[in-house]
Amino acid sequence: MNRDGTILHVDGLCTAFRQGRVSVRAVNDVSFSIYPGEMLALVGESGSGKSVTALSLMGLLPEATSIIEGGKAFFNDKNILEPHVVDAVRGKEIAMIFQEPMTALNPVLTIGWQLTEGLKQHEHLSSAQCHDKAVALLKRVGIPEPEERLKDYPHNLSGGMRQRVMIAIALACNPVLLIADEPTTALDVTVQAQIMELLADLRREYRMAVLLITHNLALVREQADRVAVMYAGEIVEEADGKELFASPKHPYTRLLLNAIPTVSARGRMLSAIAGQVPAPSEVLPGCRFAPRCPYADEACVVGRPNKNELTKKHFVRCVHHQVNSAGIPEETKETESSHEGKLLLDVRGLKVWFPVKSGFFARTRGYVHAVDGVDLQLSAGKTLALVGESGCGKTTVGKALIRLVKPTEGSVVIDGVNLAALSEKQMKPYRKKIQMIFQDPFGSLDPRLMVGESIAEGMDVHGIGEVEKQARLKELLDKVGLPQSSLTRYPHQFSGGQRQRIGLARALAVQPEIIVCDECTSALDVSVQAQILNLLKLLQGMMKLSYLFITHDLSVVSYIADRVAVMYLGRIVEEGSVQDILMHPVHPYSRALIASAPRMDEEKAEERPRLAGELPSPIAPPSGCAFHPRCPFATAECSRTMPTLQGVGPGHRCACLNTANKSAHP
Amino acid sequence: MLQSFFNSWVTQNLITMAIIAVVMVAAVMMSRREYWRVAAREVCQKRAARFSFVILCIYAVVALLDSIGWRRPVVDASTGKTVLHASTGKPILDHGASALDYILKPISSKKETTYSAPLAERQFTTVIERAEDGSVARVHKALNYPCQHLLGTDIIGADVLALSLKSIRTGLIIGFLTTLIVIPFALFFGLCAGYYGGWADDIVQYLCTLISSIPSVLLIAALMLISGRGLPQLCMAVALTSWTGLCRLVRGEAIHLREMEYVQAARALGVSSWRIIVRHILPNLLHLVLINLVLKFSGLVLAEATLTYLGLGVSAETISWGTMINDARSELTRDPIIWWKLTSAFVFMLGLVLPANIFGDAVRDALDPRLRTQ
Repeated sequence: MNRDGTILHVDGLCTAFRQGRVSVRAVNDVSFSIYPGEMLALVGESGSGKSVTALSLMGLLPEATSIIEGGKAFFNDKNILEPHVVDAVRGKEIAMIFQEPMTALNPVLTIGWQLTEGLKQHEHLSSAQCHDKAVALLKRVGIPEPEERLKDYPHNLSGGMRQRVMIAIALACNPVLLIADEPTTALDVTVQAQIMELLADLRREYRMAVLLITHNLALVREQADRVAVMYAGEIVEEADGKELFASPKHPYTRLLLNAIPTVSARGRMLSAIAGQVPAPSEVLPGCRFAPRCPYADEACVVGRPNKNELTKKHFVRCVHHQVNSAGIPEETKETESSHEGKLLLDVRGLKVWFPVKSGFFARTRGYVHAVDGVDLQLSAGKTLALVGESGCGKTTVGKALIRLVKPTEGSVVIDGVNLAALSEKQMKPYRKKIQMIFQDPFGSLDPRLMVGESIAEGMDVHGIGEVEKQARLKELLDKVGLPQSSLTRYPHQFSGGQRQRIGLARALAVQPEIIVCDECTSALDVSVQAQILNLLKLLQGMMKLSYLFITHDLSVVSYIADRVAVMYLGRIVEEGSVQDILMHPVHPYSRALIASAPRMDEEKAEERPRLAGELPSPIAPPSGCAFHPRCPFATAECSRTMPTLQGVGPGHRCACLNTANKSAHP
Repeated sequence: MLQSFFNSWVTQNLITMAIIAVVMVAAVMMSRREYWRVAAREVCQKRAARFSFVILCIYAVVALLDSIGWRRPVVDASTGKTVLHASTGKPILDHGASALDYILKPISSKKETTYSAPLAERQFTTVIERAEDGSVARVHKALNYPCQHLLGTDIIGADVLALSLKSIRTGLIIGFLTTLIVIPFALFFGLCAGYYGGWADDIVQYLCTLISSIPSVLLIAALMLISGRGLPQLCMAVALTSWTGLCRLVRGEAIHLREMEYVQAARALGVSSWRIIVRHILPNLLHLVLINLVLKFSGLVLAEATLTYLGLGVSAETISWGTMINDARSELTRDPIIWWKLTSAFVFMLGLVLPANIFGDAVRDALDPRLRTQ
């Protein structure tokens, strides 16, 4: 601890990277303090410099390309930014956990070896003592049968278990400060809830301070004591968690909070922030947010705004922080479509099984039951959200609908034609009706084709003439909000959000009726996600499009979906209107899933159903109800009988033996 | 018949012109694409790469000069007039020579009778000579053209510099022709195996494994025995044993690209497999093929030398670095050793292979998306 009572006191940290002959500041004059037992969240979009801040403090930046240009960081009254000072405390008093539990552990060493490595290094314990301590640590982070797990290799464990092991390794030397860099971003919400709960327990128990680095504002709202909002390498606002979310002062913070999709935002456009986070190399003399800020004036561009102390614990770096305390003008355009459309897509008993083969010319040894009997109905002009954890088969459903994989069984009926029964050649004219937009904005466009060529590809295939093609290209660019000059440019010249627009234009080029959106906003920052969601809603209103929205992000679902289907291990477990599912879920899995997801528009619930364990393997799904091994209400009957979807309310169906007879709507 | 067709200067000139035309068209097409322009700029930024490129160009120019040629009328040495055909009255033409031959004439025509060291005034070997006073002595005879052979002469008194320069064409032909044979094989099999998977993949994998499990020198020896020794045969034999590496590379990349979202999007739009391969997969792995070939090129030049040394390469009449090194086998056993022929072959080969490697590295750095900065 420092003399002033802080665990870590950072003052004016500046970090720069060498790019050729110039050096580029990624972190500029960042100051904050962390007190014992406190969780400080450093929150910001990608490119805001939050990870670089953490790596600078840990001395983990590559020496060849990075320089700490200024500032001090006191830990135990020593400046850890001086060379090699941090080496003595890193891994011992300051520990760090990383985003990717898959790569943070060495795959060729056992869990036990990796766990005791730090102990041997810092604590000089004997082998037997190390072993005992390792077992205790694994037990503490909630890993069952710790003795056995010590001999396991990382690939034997699931993602959540690996992150627990990472935490155990970080805890090995009783750190007083834990730096968690996006610790749950790669995990499913139910597992995220488990991990965050564990961190909260540990914080209480050991009075350990946590520096949480994340882009997830909802998570921050639930977990953090104090929040520092970073933008383009600077902390623009810092306040107590409650205060920041109740009365944000910086325009960026306010816009960011308004950009988060919620149920209450339905029917209006989200306040998307125009443009994107500036690259660190961009020279901006004034406030770095000024080019995107709706309040910016001459005062904003002349000099860097000072740090204004509103209260003792609330700082904001904005010239206009007092003037603009009124609400931000919102575009309250009515986007809700109320009409009931005709049934457009009818999926019955869809099954996709992948054969498991081994060896050369091998026989099929079994099947991955990726999709195991799914029924879906989608009406014209409506949005159906398909939600579930990773590995539940939701993406495979999307791919089966557009015939990127061939359905094993079942029917996909559009306009009275069963697409699942068509041959590849017969399918071609129907491909115009149903299109897909993808998750990865960097992988979904061919880097070697000009944007115009990419968008025109579908029109070329379906024999649309040159004149009409050019006219449609112009129209499409207008629709998705891209300049006409985009046609002759290459994908790498566009940002993630713009590429998603291009992907959308490519899908729209063949004038589809249905668009399958496969996690199409998951890789985007909140402010850009809002732009895309707005665009999707706008186009839906304009062109009467139907969306099948595949996602794990319930906040997006709450904003965009009309109906929701919850999927678990290849099956739909509950289906209903978005209000039914999000407000009154019936199935134990839906209830746990929705409770696990941190929300912006709801008070923090202290007691809520937590889901233990993780998704079982789809090669050998559990007998009976696939959810019964994780279900807190499971009975003996559940392991024998497979439940079917039963009505539990008007337009609300659920597949659960225990709730089938009960109604969700008393 | 076919042999004489290919050996005629008209055909050779046409082929050379065609090669130049193809290279120029490719260069123009690439310069239109921004991707290649950026890559070219990046390569040019490196001094070593620029220097290597200039050297490679010099080699290429020498090889091209050696590939175009013409026949000239035979001139009667005594009268200084062209010799006319007795019946037709047309001038009689000689066998012809390449442009390089005509350029090298001042050097190559300076014939000696035997070995001489670089820039020597006298022969390397001694002959027994009776002096005027009747005494017999071993003397180094004076050369016909003293101090004019920059790299010395070989056993029959031919200028080693001229030989080395003439070898460039052989080396480059081996490199290019083999590459040209390898590309379609590797691309076709690699793309089919990678994109379609399934049994196509099994068959190609099996074939690759089969070929790479036979020692390549033995396979080349067998092929050369069947088809006879010659430059085209050698290229064919080397190509047949070396396409598997590139094929595997293409297959791996095709498997990776097949799963890319833009390929999925194209499939969702109903684009045919063939069109996806040509439009999306091939252009996106072409840089890998290019990098691989540039780096492999030097290996092929060296392979010619190795195989000729082993007696499997081109025939002894073909001038190549391989034959020069093969000759050096006996020259190195002499005392004092004759080092200049081996050394010149070595230096000229190094002069090609080293820049090719440096240039290849630069090309890889410029094209490899993983190393490339946005």
